[in-house]
Amino acid sequence: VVTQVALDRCTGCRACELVCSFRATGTFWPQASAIQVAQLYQDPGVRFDLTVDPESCDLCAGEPVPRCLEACPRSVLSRAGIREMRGGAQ
Amino acid sequence: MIAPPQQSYGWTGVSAVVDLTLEEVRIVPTAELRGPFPGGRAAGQLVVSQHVPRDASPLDPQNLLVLGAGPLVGTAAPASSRVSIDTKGLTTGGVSSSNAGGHWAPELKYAGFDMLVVEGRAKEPTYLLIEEGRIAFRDATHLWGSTTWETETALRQVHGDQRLQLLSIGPAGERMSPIACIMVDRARAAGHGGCGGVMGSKNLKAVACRGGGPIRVASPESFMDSVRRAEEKIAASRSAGLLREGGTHFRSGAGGFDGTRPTTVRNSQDEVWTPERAAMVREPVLRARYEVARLACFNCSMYCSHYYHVTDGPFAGLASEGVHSNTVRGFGSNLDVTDPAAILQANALCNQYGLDVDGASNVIAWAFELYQRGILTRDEADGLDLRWGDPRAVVALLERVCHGEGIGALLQLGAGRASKQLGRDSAYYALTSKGHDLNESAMRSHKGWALGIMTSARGGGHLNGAPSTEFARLSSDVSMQHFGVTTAGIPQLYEGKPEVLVYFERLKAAVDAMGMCYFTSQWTDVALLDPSDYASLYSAATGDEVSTGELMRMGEQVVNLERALSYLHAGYTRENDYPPERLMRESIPRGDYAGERLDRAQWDRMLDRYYALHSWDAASGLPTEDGLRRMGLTHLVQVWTEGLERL
Repeated sequence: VVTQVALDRCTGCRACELVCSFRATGTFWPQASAIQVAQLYQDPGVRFDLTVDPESCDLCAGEPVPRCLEACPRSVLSRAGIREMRGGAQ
Repeated sequence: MIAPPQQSYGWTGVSAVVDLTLEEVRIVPTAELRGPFPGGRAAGQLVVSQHVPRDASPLDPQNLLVLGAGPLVGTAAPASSRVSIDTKGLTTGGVSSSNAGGHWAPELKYAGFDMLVVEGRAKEPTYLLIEEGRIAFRDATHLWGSTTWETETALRQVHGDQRLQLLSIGPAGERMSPIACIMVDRARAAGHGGCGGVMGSKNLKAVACRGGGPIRVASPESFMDSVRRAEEKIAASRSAGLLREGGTHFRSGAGGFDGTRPTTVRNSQDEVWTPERAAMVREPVLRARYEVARLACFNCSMYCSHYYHVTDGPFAGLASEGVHSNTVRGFGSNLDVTDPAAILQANALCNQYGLDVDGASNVIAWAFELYQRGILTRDEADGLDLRWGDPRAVVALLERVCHGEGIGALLQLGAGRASKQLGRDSAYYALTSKGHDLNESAMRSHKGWALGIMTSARGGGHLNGAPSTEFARLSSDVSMQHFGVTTAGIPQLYEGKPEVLVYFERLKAAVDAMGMCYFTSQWTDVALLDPSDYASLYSAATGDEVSTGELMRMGEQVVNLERALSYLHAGYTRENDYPPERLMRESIPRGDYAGERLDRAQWDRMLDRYYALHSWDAASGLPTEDGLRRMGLTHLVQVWTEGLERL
C-alpha cells in the first residue's frame, strides 16, 4: 500500500509519463516511462494505480528534482512516494 | 505491421483509409492526406472537400468520417489531447467539425497513426481495434444498443486492458439522430454537427486504441524550451487559474464565478437569471456537495473535468463527470432548473446515450416554450407537464429523447428540423444557426460574440472564432495592442468586432490543426498562448519552420475552405449569417443589458466589414475564385465556378 503518494489528487493527465520517457529516450513514449498511470472508473469514484519500475527509475539522479515530481500539476508525488512505489528502497 | 517513416517528427507519418464496406484498410502517408496543412481540423476539412461528393447525403456511405490527431498530439505540448472529427454534417448539411479531448488521440498516435479516414458502411455493427500499427474489424452486434459507458467497460474487459482508449457512439448515434455526438473517455464529447449520427450510419460503434510507440520531435531541447514557456504562461494566467479552480462552469456557467455573466433563461426569453437561482447551481455548490475527483485530459495542467457523486435525493447513486458551463446553462438556467443533481443527471444521460448537450437542451427548451404558449399540448408531450423549472419534467423528456420514443422521436431531430416537421409557427422559437441548435448566452448583448456564432461555417457554436474579449472587458489599450481596434472589450458596440473575430477564427483554426486544446490560447486570456507560441511548438516538433504570419495564414486558408464547403454542400450564403429572428426582435427585458437586441442594419454593417476583411464578396458572403486561388484552394476553383453559376 502506497501511503506517501496523494493518489486522491491525481487527475490522470500522465504528464509524469511524458517527462520520464523524454529523459530516458528523448521521445514522448509513455510505454517507456518508469512511472505508469492507470485510471480506473469504480462508480462511484475513480481509482488511480500508479506504479514505478525500480529497474528504470533512478529518481533522476544528478538532477535537483525528479522530473515526474516537477511535472505533476497537482503535487501528487513526493521523493518519499516515488521511493515507496519503487519498492521501498530508501 | 507497418514500419513508420524513420524521419517523421511530430507526426507518425502514417495514416489509414478504412473501408467499412469492403473491410479493407489502406495505409497512406499522412503527408498525402494533409496536403499543406498540419493536421487535425485543417486536414480533415481538406479530405472532406476533396473526396465527399456534393450530392451525397451525410448519411450515405460515400460520406467520410475523418478522425485526425495533429502533429503536437501526444507530445509534451500543453493539453495536446484533441481528436478532430470532420465530416459532411447532419445538422448543417455542410461543414461539420468537432473535437474532443481525453486520451484517445494520443493513443492513436502511439499506436502508429495520425489520421483515420473512415468510409463506406459496415454490413453489421462493427468496432475497430487499433493496436501497434494494425487495424482490425470486430463484431459489435453485442454492443449495439449499449450506452457509451457500457461500451467502454465491455471493451476494456474483453481486451483485458484498462488503458484501452475508446471513442464511441451511444444509442442516439445508432439511430442517426442529428443531435448525436461521439464520446471519448465517457465524458469528452465531440458534440457538434451530428457526427455521432454519421458514425451510426456507418454501423461503426466504437474505435478502440492502444499503442506502445514513441513520438519523436525534430529539435527536442528547443521543443522543451517552447513547452516550458507555454506552461509558464498557463501557470501565470488568472483565467487559466479560474479554469483550474472550478472548470468552465466556475468561470462562465449560469452567471459565472461572480454571478454577473449573462445566461439564457427560458429558451432565451430572458438573459438574466435571478442571483438567488444562479446561486443554487453554482460550481462551488456542486464542489461542496458532490465532487469526488478532478480529472484531466491528456497532459493538461488545468484538469477542468469534475467527477461528481450524488448521494441524496431522487438522483442518489448518480456518478458522472464532465459538467461544463454549457451544461449548466442548457439544462439549468435555460430551463429555469435549480436542482443541481437534475443537471448532473441530464449531463450523464447525454454522455451515456451519446447526445450533444447543446442540441438536447436546446430542443427541450424549445418544447417547453411551445408548451408555455399552448402550441404543444400535454397529450402531445406524452402527458408530461412541461412547466419551466420542473427537474422531473426535464429529465423525463430527455429520457424520451435518449430513447427516441414518444415525443422524443420528434425532439431527437433538433429544434430546427423538429420545428419544420411540427409547423404551427414553432420555428420562431427554435434557436438555430444554419440548422444547428444554439445553446449560447449573451447573443443579444455581446455583438462580436454573436457575430462569431452566426458566421461559423459549422453552424453556431462559440468555438470557431467568437471572441471572449467582451466578457473579459478588455481595456481599449490592450484591445488596440492585440487587434488594432479599441472596442474588443465593449460588449454593446458593433464597431471593431469583425477585426477581433477574424483574428480568433485564424487562431482557432491553427490550434485545431495542431491538436491542442483551445483553452491554452489567447481565447481564454490574451496573456495566454499566442500564434508565436504555437508556431514555435510546431516548428520545433516537426522541423517544418513556420513563422507566426504563416501560421495565421494557414488559419485563414481553413476559414476559406470551410466557407467554400458550406456553400458547395449546403448552399449557405450571406442570408444564413443572420441571427434567429427572436434575437433581432425581442430585447433583453431587464438587467445590465436591458433593451439590447441585435439590430439588423448594424448587423449588416458588421457583415460587410467581416466579408471585406476576408476579401469575400459582400453580396454573397463567399470567397471569390481569385480568393480561392490565393488561398491555395485550387481544387475547389472549377467546382466553385460551376456552383456559383447556379447561385
